[in-house]
Amino acid sequence: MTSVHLRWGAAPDPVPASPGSLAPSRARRVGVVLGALLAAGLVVVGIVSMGAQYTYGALRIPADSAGTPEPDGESRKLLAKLRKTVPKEAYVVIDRTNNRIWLRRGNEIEIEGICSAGSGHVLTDPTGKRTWTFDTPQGRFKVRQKTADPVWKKPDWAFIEEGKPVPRDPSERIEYGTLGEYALYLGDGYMIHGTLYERLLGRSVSHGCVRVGRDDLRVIYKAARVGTPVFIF
Amino acid sequence: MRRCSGLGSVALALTLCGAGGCSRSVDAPAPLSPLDSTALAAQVELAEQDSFYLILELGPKRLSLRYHGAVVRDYPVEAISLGRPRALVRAVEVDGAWRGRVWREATLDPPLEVSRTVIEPPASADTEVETPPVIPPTPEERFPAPDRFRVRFAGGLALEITSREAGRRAGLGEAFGNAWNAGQDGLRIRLQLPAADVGALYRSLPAGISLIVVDRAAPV
Repeated sequence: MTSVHLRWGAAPDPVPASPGSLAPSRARRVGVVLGALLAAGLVVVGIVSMGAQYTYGALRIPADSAGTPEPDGESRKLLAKLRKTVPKEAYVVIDRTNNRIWLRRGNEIEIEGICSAGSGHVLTDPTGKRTWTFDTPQGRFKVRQKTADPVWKKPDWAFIEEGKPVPRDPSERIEYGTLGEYALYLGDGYMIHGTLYERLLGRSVSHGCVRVGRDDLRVIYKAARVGTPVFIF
Repeated sequence: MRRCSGLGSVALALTLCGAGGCSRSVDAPAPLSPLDSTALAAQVELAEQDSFYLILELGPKRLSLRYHGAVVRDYPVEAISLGRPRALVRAVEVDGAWRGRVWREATLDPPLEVSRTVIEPPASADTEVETPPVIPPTPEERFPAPDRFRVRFAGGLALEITSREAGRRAGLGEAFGNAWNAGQDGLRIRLQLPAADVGALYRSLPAGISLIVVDRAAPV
């Protein structure tokens, strides 16, 4: 084993060339060529990246010291139109991907909680004729009905998922307690309701409904009325 | 060898300058009144549609998701910077009309991948085989989000959403990646959000969303 001692600013001590190894002068030449190639490469990459980048700068908007000016005729009409679209009362917002729920009143957040939205799973009837995708729909909805102690009328997919035959007798579809204390109906079978599985809140586990924890559900149920907007994104 | 190291220093300086994006001050555009009729008309147009849209307010540094004028979700913006494309070392001037107009048809870069699980229903309910309970994934596990992404709108505007932590981690490799994709956007607005909000926005941003950039939203 040969050790080489290098000192900054000085050439290494000469080492006798052994058969099959590069002579010191040749090795130096190879090093110079490799170094030059690396530097040239860096120059090219630098020029390319400088030519194809973006110049970023902090953007500051000066404070409007004069405040909002008085609207003129055209602006007044547009403002009136805009104000007409905005809900005046409390509304419910659901983030179906991050499993969050809010009760809002304009810029004010009254409550913020976790929920469980649709799992996104796909179920196909063993006959192959029907397919269900368990997504929570996106868009603007409104509370169509409010119910305390709701009863779940199990749809076909609930039986198929469990490998059970779909009953002909409607009374066999009724299940008590599954939906928690309250349910807010949004239409097309979708609801905001309670859950027996609070430990799974924050995860996407439902068949499309929005499951909410008991305490948050109590506040939402109390604040919402029939017609309250529900925004799901 | 000395010549070579001199060349190397110049190269390294050029590369780092290119990679860093050479931060400069950007002249503040002339203030846009919250009652500017063009910007107001654009906000009314979006509020009257049955879809979600974004409003970026540059003055209060606020990005909000809205529907019918209602604020649905606020994303706190820690810093805003404006990225202009550069031809070699000179920034290309961008028309100031990017504020107060509607930008449509957003696409995510990188795109959000959605994979679905297909449930195999058991042949019968009285099956002897017990399947172990499966803990469903968290949103973060189900949709892993990058710490930096772009929302690119038709017409050349892009929002670059990033976090302070991502900015610290950004290296040379990412800068070269940016250089490779440069030229796609006429203007980039870089928004620094808290890291948790970067991921949340990436996962739940409605597809094809529209955007309006204003100094301040109309008082409603």
